[in-house]
Amino acid sequence: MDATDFTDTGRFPEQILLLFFIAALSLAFAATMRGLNGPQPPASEPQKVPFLGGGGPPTHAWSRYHVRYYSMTLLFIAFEMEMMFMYPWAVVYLREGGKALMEMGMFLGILSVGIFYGWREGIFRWQ
Amino acid sequence: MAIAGGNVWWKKLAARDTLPVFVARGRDSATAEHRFFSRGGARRVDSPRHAQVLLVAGRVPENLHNALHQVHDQLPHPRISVWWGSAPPESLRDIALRVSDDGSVPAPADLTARLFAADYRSEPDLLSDQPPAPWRGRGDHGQGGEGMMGGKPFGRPMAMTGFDLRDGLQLDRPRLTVGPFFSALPAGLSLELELQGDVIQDIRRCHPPFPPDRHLLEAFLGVHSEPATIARLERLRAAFHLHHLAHYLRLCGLSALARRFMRVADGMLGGGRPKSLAPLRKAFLRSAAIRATAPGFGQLNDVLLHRIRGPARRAAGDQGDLHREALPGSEFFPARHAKAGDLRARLWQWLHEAEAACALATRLEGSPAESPAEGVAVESPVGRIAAPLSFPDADPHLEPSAQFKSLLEGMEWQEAMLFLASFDAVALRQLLGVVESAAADCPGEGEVQ
Repeated sequence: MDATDFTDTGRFPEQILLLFFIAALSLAFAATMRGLNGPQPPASEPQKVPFLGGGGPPTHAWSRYHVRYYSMTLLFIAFEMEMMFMYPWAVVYLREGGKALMEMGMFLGILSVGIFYGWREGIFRWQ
Repeated sequence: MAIAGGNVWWKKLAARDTLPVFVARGRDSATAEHRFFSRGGARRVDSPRHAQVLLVAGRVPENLHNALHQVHDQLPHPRISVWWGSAPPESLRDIALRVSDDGSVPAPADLTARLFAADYRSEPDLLSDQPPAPWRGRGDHGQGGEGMMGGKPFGRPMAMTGFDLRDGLQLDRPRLTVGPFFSALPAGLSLELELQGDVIQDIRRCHPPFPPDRHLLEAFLGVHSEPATIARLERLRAAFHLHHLAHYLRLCGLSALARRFMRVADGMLGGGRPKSLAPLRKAFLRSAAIRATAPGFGQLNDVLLHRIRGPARRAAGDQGDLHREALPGSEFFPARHAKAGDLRARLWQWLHEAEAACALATRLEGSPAESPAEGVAVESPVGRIAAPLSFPDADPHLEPSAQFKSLLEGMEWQEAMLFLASFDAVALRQLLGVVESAAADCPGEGEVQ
């Protein structure tokens, strides 16, 4: 197995053209569906108000709010990257034997310091 | 039928679909809504943007007309409005349909034909076509708008920052008024809120929900003067509770189960006699709708508990029930009690009381009509009532009671919607601090006791 097994340089232009053709077809289909209703009048000012059951929005809806799950996300990303390193390790683990096990154990140990830190900081407390 | 733009196949297909209708509920809207939808061919939608027909059911008070015109204008063209119980405004006199209770009801097929007709001129806007804050252009030195944010995009200022209730984080707190015709809220309830994310931070002003339908309560209120059979009253009670449960189920997203509950409830209102509600109870249990909130969520403190009556109070452990006293001869065993007083308990209480009422009605099917003694209070589905009540139109800018504010502030949006749906309209009005008055022609205590 080498790099040439994954290229198919002979048919490259045709494949790109096919992709563009499919994209153009989807665009044409969507445009047709959109235009089926015929010409519509532009939305008037009262129609642009967001639906609130009759109430008014005195401020804009573009507002910043906190992403409350960010600590979960950070933890997930960290251990996802750890998993990424474990995938190639799993492939060669049987061949390498006990040394590989100890090395991975040290790696996991270092990363678990992160878990203990988070635990003490209270990221596992559900709000 | 001649369709605008030609009889093309996709328009004919669209014309055969069920008619999407947005219902703007006013006071005493249940009859209009039920009669319009009972024939089929139309479906309720939750937003006017999905609708072609605006059904104004019931009487909308004067001070909410602006909100109603706002909702009307949000329907996309071609649109038509059906006014059942209210008068359409001047500009729509010739186009909109006016229906009275004893008149003919427009069929959805007729409305579709009208909407798709080639010569149909869609209803014009009721509000003027002015942006909320017109762009004033740039100033002499290149500035435009006002304030730090550099202008008002689309005519509205950006939300300013403020402290979050949960941890003091200072991010934007947008304000909005969820109005009287919002489908997730009880009919008529409008709240001016300040949110951060989806957590309610502050409630400024409100309009209380509309009271329950007059004809529904009249059977209970008028039982002193007009005797009624126990079976009829109990079926009305069961239908009342099942309607509320159906609304809660629709909020949970279980619209098919909600329609099933509504069908049974409407059947009982129309004279149907189901033997028992056990199948509904089983379906309710199986749907796990009760688990939409955590146990212990939605409890009221003692002060608020003393203000309300009816099933909401009994769900917190209060044992009062006047069946035995009010209607002599009926051996009524009290409905099973929920005791926790939280949201789940209130739902269970509704279900228990509906089942008990249905069972009682089946048992006492043939008893004659009777009246309780003079001055004795009757247990209506919203609490004990000794005299007829009048519910005057409320001010849309009421200050809600501080206790109510402390309940809702800090709740997430979905929790708040479910919480508000777990009370009937009278209990909610009492929580908000609205004082109900006796009817003008009836002296003495008119309160829900």
